[in-house]
Amino acid sequence: MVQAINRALAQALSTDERVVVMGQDVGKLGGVFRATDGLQAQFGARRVFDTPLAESAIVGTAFGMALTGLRPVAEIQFMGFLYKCADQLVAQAGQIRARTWGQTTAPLVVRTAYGGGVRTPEHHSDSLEGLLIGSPGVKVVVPSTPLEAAGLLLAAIDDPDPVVMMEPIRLYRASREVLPDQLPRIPLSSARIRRPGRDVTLVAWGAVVPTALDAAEMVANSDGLDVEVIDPRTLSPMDWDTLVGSVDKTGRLVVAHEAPRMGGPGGEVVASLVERCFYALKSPPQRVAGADVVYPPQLLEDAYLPDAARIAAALRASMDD
Amino acid sequence: MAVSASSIDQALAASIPSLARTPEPFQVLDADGRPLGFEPDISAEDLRAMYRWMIFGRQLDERGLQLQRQGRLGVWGPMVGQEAAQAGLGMAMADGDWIFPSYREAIMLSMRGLGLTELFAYYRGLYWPANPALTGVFPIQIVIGDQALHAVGAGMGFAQQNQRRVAIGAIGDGATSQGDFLEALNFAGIFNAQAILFVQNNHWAISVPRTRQTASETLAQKGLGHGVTGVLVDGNDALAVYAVSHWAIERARDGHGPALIEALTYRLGAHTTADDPRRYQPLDEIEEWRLRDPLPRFRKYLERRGLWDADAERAAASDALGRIDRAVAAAEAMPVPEFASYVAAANGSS
Repeated sequence: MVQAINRALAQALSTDERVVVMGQDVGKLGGVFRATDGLQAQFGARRVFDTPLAESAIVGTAFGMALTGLRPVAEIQFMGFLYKCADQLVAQAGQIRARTWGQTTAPLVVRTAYGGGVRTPEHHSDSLEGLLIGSPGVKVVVPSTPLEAAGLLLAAIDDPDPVVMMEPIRLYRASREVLPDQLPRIPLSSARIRRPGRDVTLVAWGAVVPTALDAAEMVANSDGLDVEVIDPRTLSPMDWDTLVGSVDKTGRLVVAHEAPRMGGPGGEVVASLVERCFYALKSPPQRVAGADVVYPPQLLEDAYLPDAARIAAALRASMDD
Repeated sequence: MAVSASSIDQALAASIPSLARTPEPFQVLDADGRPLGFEPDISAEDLRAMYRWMIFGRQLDERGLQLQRQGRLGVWGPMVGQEAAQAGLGMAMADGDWIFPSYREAIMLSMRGLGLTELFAYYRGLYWPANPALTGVFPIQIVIGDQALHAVGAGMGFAQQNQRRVAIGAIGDGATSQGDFLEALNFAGIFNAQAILFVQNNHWAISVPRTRQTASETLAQKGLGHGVTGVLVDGNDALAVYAVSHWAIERARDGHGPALIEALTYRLGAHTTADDPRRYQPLDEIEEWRLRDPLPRFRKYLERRGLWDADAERAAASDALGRIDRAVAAAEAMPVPEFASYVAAANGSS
């Protein structure tokens, strides 16, 4: 996936002169995950540049640059550091459209690595999508495949509003795909049915998608369940039509994510779908989430993260009428 | 081995940075409006215009306070005492320059092309109705100091695209305590941003005095630690503020670097109409600063040069009041839009 992101950035830089790539270590080093590898050499230090180590300033100045007509793609190395720039992202860039009655927008992308499972130290594993989807004005995309990472990033760069792209650390290298020469855009707010099915709707995004597909396979073999796995890909604004269509069909819903359960994104997905699909539901919707606890130290994280067995158990529970 | 305090003091002397001297505020006029020596190159018409804007500001303040008391404006942050700082900067900006303001800067916003009707509409309780890309005036910042980063970012964008524009981040002394202000200074220096951070040091952040914001002797010297030129100016000397601002803006425009300007002035009024400064502002301090009122000081200068008289003063005040009242009427006639149209504008089409 990391190469797909790199290729998408190169494609955007070469086709749109307004695009600049900025952040800590994005220059010579090519990013701590190498997502910007070689871009400075190819496009020059004016368009691909290192910044001082200051998250609020990275996003705040990217916002200012966006106002002048540029299309900055800023990197925040880990989502756990997002709190430092949440004010600039949410209260400033995210609100300029509303504050100016739609006359001014901030075409800005913030790429950030999120999620656990690779034994990173403290503050490097957070899933903060719950904060962002509750912040009107900021769009949120989460890819689960290399092609989608590239396509969503290209669409995010073209979008007139601030978009946060949450990049699952676990899939940076684990997820591989052959990439075409010209990377296609994937429209924002378009969910993808990863596995069609009749019995249960399973909603998952980012690094949990491969786990969800494993769980679906598991219960297909063990219980003969036909699970429909849907990846919303954009969490805000959400593609409710696709989700509603699926739940209306299956009548059962499981949502799985790494973020904590309390106040988490799964609660919003479940509540919205219960409102829309109440009479189609045959059983209580289930959530599989991170625990309601501060993200644990590396050697305990496997117990925190949703795994295929927990998701499978929730799928089976949803079959109890 | 024990090291005595005096010996380490001596040994460290060359390694501790220090300001060789405390900066003195730059002045063009003395307290009585007499030139001290250097005078900026500015036309008689611009001098008169600058003073008219100061009169306009004072009228605007009085009307703003009245309207707020009548319940016709939500809240008003008076500018009284700070007219020279604002008019000086406003005169120095050029067409195409951008300003990211705080909420006590109606003079410079009006000077830079924000319609007074739009300003009153905002204070009446609507969102920012004027397109910033057309006026160069961005919405008033409420989160203290955030706009410093926006101005620096815009100044980076101008430099990146070889545009001969300058972005001004206008803040107060309280904002200089914010991390975002210091990060903005730092980025401005690193990226040679076409930006100016203009601090109106009015000595009070609501009830907290400037001496509680920093142990630093001046705010201007904070530029030094970030590789940015800082300059201290008498903010009640309209000509000095104009001269310093013009110098800094043109320097930044030519790519010679950003600047931090500290304009020393004083908030003679309340923080806003929701505040009671009698609880904290010392009366003798207020009296001392009343004597430094920027309007009579500049007026005396103009009168000595034969550019102003009592008739001009009366005409300027009545012209300002007329414009203000017409704008208030127009703002009050603006219909309150449907909520749905706000949602559509705020969320965009997608």
